[in-house]
Amino acid sequence: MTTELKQKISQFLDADLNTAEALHLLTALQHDNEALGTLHRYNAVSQALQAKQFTLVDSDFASSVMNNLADQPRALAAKPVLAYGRYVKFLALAASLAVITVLLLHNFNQANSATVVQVATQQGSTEPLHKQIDDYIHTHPTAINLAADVEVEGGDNGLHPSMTAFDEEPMGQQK
Amino acid sequence: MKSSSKIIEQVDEQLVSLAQQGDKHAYNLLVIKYQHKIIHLVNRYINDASEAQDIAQDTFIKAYRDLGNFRGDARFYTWLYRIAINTTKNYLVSRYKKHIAEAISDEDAEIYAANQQSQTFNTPEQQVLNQEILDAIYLAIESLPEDMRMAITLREIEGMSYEDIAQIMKCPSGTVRSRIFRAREAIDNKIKPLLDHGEC
Repeated sequence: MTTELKQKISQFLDADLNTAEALHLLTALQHDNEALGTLHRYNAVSQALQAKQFTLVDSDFASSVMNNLADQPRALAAKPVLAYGRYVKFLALAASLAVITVLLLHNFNQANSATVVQVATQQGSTEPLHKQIDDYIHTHPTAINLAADVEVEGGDNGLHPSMTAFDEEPMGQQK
Repeated sequence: MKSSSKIIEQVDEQLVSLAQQGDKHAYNLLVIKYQHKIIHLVNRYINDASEAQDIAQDTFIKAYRDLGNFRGDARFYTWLYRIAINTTKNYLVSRYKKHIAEAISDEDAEIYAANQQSQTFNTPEQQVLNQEILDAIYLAIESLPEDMRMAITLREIEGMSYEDIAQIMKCPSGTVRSRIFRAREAIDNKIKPLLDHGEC
């Protein structure tokens, strides 16, 4: 085993290798028992100095784990069901917000329309209709007189009724 | 250079992602990377090297089965650590040591471990060998040149980064890297014969 490889193992223990180097080293260690043994011992010394207690690890520990894993089902990536569940929750939330927004807007518009109608009604009813008619009549006396003074010729024979204006006062006294 | 923890996270993320897609080779790399930490963690509560390794093995198998539910909200090691603690608790409960198991929780596991006496269930031979190796490590450190001894002590015992050690020792971080490696090599040369002799 080269000194360079040993130094890489030392750096690896201290997290001094970059990601690519660390992955490369770990892959190399799988097929190099001597290098793996060096990693075991360096690591054991490191742990012993930190814990003041030496623990010997079987050099074939990792192999034993992998042999036991041979019968295990394949580890699967994060369950898609949960990701779908999150998506459905998000959709439900979005739909709820949309409904609330529509309802709020609808209520807001209704309130505005009611105000406009009310204002329009109030503006329209500021002068009663009969008052407007009265005003019109007062300002257009001629029109009324024409109608009121119509007398059909031959009215005296009683065949044609005469029409009389409905004014309370004689027209001549108005102005 | 990126911070150490960031690099560790990136390596783990890539390996976990591959393992989640069924790449057992990637999971093997994660086992290689974390086996010592997990075994050491379990050993704090079990104090039997053989049983501790069995529980650590269960931990890695459970983690593999549950890997599909790991979303990366926490670091992989934090997640693995919790599985190890729970597996250890279950083991202790099953061995009618409930009073010990209740003392362990994610929060106080470290405190509990720190307060534990080194009550050991290892065989006398194992105890002697482990103590002999520990003594050899300390002896090897004492015999190192001053600059290497300081570098390895600051790194392993104080947990300092290369950059911090470089500042303290007033030298480039490349020099620190080299000193730490040479210190490890010197210690390894002392303990390797003991480990080969007492291979278990």
